[in-house]
Amino acid sequence: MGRKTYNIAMVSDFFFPQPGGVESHIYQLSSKLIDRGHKVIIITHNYDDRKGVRYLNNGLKVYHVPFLVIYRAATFPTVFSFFPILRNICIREQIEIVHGHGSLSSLCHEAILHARTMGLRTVFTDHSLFGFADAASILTNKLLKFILSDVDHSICVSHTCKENTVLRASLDPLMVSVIPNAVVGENFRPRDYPTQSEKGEGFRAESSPRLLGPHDVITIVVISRLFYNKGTDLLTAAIPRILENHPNTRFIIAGSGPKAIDLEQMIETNVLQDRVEMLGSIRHEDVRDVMTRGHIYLHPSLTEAFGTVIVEAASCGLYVVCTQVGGIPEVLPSHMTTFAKPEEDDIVAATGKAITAMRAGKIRTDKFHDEVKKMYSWSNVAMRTERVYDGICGTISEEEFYGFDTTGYTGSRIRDFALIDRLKRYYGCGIWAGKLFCLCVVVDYLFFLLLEWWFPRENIDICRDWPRKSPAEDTAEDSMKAAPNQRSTSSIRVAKLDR
Amino acid sequence: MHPFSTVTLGIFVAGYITARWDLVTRLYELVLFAAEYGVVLRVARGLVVLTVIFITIFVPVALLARRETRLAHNVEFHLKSGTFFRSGPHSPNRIYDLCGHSSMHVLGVANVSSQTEVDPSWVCAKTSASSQYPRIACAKASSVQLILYDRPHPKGMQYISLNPIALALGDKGSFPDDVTSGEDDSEEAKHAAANKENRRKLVEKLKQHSIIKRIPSARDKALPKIVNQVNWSWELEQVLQQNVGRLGPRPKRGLSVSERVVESATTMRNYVLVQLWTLLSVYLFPIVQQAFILVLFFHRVLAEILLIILEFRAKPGYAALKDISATAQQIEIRLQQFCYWPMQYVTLRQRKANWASVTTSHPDYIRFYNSLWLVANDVIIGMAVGSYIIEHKEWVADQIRDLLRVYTVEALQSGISWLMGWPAGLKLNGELAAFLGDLFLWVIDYWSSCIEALSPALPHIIWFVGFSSFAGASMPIAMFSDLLSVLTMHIYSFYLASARIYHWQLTILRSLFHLFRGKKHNVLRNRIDSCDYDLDQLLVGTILFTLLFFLLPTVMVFYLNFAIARMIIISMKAGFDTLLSCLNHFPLFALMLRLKDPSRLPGGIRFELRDTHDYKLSDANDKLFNEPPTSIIYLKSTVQHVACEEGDDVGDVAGGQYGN
Amino acid sequence: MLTTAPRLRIRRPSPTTAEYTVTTLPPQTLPLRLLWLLLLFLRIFLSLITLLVIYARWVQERSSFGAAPTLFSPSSLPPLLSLDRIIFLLDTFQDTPGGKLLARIAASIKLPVLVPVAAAVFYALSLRVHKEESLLVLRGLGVQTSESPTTYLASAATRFIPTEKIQDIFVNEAFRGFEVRYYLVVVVEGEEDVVVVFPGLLPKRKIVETVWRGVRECLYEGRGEDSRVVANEK
Repeated sequence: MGRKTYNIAMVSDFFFPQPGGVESHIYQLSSKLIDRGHKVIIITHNYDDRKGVRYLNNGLKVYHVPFLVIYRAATFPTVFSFFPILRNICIREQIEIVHGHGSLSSLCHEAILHARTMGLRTVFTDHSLFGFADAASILTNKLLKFILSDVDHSICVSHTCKENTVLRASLDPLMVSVIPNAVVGENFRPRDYPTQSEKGEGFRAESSPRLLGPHDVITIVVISRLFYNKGTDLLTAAIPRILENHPNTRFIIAGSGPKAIDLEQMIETNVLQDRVEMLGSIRHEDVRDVMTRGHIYLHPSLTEAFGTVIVEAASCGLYVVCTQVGGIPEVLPSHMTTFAKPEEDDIVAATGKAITAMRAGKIRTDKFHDEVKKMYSWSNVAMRTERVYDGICGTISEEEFYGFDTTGYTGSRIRDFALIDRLKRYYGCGIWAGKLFCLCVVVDYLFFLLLEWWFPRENIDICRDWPRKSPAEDTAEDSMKAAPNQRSTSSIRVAKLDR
Repeated sequence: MHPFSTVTLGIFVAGYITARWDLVTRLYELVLFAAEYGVVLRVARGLVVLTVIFITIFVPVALLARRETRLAHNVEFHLKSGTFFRSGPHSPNRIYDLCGHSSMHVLGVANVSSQTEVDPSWVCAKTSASSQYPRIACAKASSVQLILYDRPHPKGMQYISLNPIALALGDKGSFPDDVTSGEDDSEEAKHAAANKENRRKLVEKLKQHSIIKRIPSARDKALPKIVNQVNWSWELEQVLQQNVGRLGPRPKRGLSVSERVVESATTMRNYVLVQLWTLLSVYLFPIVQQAFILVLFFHRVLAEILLIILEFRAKPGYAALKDISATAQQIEIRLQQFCYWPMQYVTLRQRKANWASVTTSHPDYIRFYNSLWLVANDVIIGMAVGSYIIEHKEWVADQIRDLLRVYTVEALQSGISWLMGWPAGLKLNGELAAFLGDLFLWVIDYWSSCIEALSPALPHIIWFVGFSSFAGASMPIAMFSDLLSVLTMHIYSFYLASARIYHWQLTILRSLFHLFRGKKHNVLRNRIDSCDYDLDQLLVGTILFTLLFFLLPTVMVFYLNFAIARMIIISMKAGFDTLLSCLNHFPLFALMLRLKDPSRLPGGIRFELRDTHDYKLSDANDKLFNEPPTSIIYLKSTVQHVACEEGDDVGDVAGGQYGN
Repeated sequence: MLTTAPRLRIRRPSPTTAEYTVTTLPPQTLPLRLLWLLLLFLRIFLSLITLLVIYARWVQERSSFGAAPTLFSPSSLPPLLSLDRIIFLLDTFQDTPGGKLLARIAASIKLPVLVPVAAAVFYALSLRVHKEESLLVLRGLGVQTSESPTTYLASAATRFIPTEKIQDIFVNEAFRGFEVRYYLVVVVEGEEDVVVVFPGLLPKRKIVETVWRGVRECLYEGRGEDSRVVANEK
């Protein structure tokens, strides 16, 4: 028997060459899904001169759709402008499932709306947490509610994130799955860690933990984009105090953003040039090299749905100090982390505790890597995602997929494509919003009909598939190395046609 | 033959005759009849005529045809030894270099009747009246590309080339790079440089995507040489036609008496001519030449001195005379052209010493004559303009005076008074507006009195301008341009003053705005830092900010007024400059050539595939000529699209390379 | 009706030469030919009318400036095929009802409107109905792209690329308007921009692939080095 394979389109505003958690999540997931025999394409917007069609490793095809970028790589939200191109791509690639990523990505929202209109199954993965109070959040939440009220299934990266999403979009909790991120263990080995081939040679003596002397320098690494929500202000306030309290420590800060100037200024006012090193923006494949230079990873983020970077840090053998926000507490076991409240004093205190513990040699950081490797694997993520696809496409039955419902809800969770049913779902979104959303959907449907007439289906070339892999069995442990490095993006360069 | 069998045959014949005696008698009668009516004679005559015809026509043709192939070998030998070029106009070596062969070869034969003696690698061509194209066969070829072309006429300077003819001077491409590396590091230039670098990287990356690197075969590389061969073909044909008599043995024949007479007469005439020529060349010509060279030399020295004066800069980075004045610039262009022409002419003369098919100097030729034409045109137009100006100098001077008074004094005065009284309902600060307005009005008054004092001299200046136009119409234009800048000096200074005030105010406002936000501009790092200000600092800053902000419209209105006036003057000067560059750099000659003979301006080549339908049908019955599949291609030269473009280089024809 | 979807026409008289033409011209049938003829007559008719309107306007302008119109007496016809004869014919046409109608039209339109409108009409009448783009491949020489111009007045724009300069030829995808299209591209050595073949029509994948295979076969096959050519861009 063969497992059913799907043609999947991942849609998000966030993708390489921009670094970040969502980006690498999409890449790794797609790569593993291709290994499992599916066909995956990625649709994102253009980055600088990177527009057109590209191939990445493993036959992963990326459409960089030329669009207007407004803020932090998010495109301008136009409700219908993306439809013609999306329809064209979906038809030429024979897409069955549209999988959107990131609740801030308007491209993803549009794609899900249009995909439903075209009669395709849709999945949405939420990577971020939001508040409920401020104006921007209210708008985003309304939008999310609009989109998610008709999506076939949602995926969240952590349980906190799931709660947040369920609350924000008033979803049926059973229609939201939790599938965490993962890391590629091979890419985040600690310093001095033997490679696989060396390990196979024979018995290796259990190395004793490296003890730090009282005058050895402890290096604290911070790798994050320097934005407000990443807690850069906390960092700016905390660094001088930490360095003052602990003489033999230094900081390495990698990443760039609008708050970089504040950091620089802090360094200059406190004359800390020799103790704080700012690397600027670094490439994703260099992250490991930076991390292995340090002992402690400090993560002062104010909001975080999952925090892949702390898993990466732990995998590199760093002790993690992080703020106790969002999904972070779920991510790592307590012996790898010290938690702090997102306040200046608490962060200073927690870091001090961590430094003391490191000096005392209480923490076996050398074992972190193996433990993390056992916890997180992309193959597992891909397998779980595949089950979601199976569930929404009806490959596995509804009962099997959703299990027994304790709340007594008896209706079907399969979202059918009849326009009237869709309108019913949207109508329930709110007094005014519901009507507005219904209007949008109706216009979208009319637009779809217009497109079917304007660009007939038979005039669109069906494109050739990359040779598919034979679908691996569920138990197969595939150890694919798929480094998301920049060099792998040396795909066929697409010259711009409209010169 | 055996005697016995002879006897047997004899017996048989005798027996047969006796048996058929009546037949024999009939034959005898027939012979008698024929003899009586002269049949035999007629038959014999016919036979004789036929034989003669056969001997005179067919035998030589057959012989010739047989010799033809031998002839080809003979031709090959002569080609190798270079017999044909012995009396040629130039040495063939140069052209051989261009064409990529050390000598010429026989490729094949045309219109042979039999193929028996043809070398298998040779090409057999056959022309026929019915078909437009020759038919080609070759024993070794599996398929044939037949490329036909019209021979370009090198004496008329026609040629074909792979690349469009470059009428602009070649060093233009590298020019921008040198400039950007200098002090002109504007944002725009940086951006352009970054873009360029990005594109270069992309091109490099594209190279990595080619999976198979194909090394071009010798045939692929031969295309430029083929083009040269095509260019040479007309001259080659001429040479070969002249020397075809050298082929084969030539009978030596003595001259007849009349020929001797003609020859001696010619010799005599030639002798006299040669004597006269030597007389001229030995005594007269050197003197004339020396004088001419001296004149040229002094002219050159003078021109160089003037050029040095024009380009003198008090300090590097200061403006030279030619940067300030359009007249100086015009004089400089003309001087440089005068210096350049003799050299250009000498180079062009050297062209005659080579085959006309060597096409490297054709763009130079066009450039040289273009600049000559332009100067001639310029002078002709200049004479007309100059005589007009001189005749009407009073009227012109009056006009200029009126224009100056109306537009640069009165219009400005009324404009400023308008600004002083809350223009267009805009509530300006009355005190500041009155102060600024009074200041400017006072300066205008002073300036107008100066102009009044100067005005009697104006007709003389106009006369001078008119006189200068005999050196070309570009001169008075340049002078008027300069006159305009001198006579509107006050507007320029007003503009400078108001712009300075406006700039100060903007700078102060910007830094006070930073103070507002609790930031400051860090000069050392060139970035915006946050800064903690004291309360009194903030208070004073805020008051100052408000004050300056409310005064801003008044200053801005004055600035805009003078900026617009300055803009108008600059656009007028730009108009003059455009006229000047049209007169100096218009590709007149190239445009004329484009009309007269487009093939002198080649813009690349193109091919046309001809239909071969009728062609295939006609040779179906021709079994002798079993030809491979043939495609007939017609080679044509595309025409350069001449586009006007302003260039700074001296004497260049700015022709954009927009050829397809 | 006058055009079809882009279709491919191959001319290949010998193995080393091939011309691939993509055209929107439908196959010639009798009704189509008649239609063409009709269209041609319509074009000629319309341009004649425009010319006559301009002429009528010119006559009006001339008479308003006081220039005496040249008058021919009907008894002395100017010789055939001379300028005078043409002017005479035009003037006689002006007196017919049709001519008067045209004169009234000409008089009612303002000159700044009339001239650009006439120019636009002439341009529109000279527009080609169908497009044709071709690629000529000559082994040992190179490839040549050509594009039919938009009007009947201009000649085809061609671009010849010698074999030596051809770095690669491949099929690629790109966004074009609201679509993703396949296109054939020639990479020219030492140039920043690639040369797109069939840039205006951008035919469908099947045609593009046929041409791609054909070009590679025609240019390189049989040279010994191509035995391991794989469909590398696919």
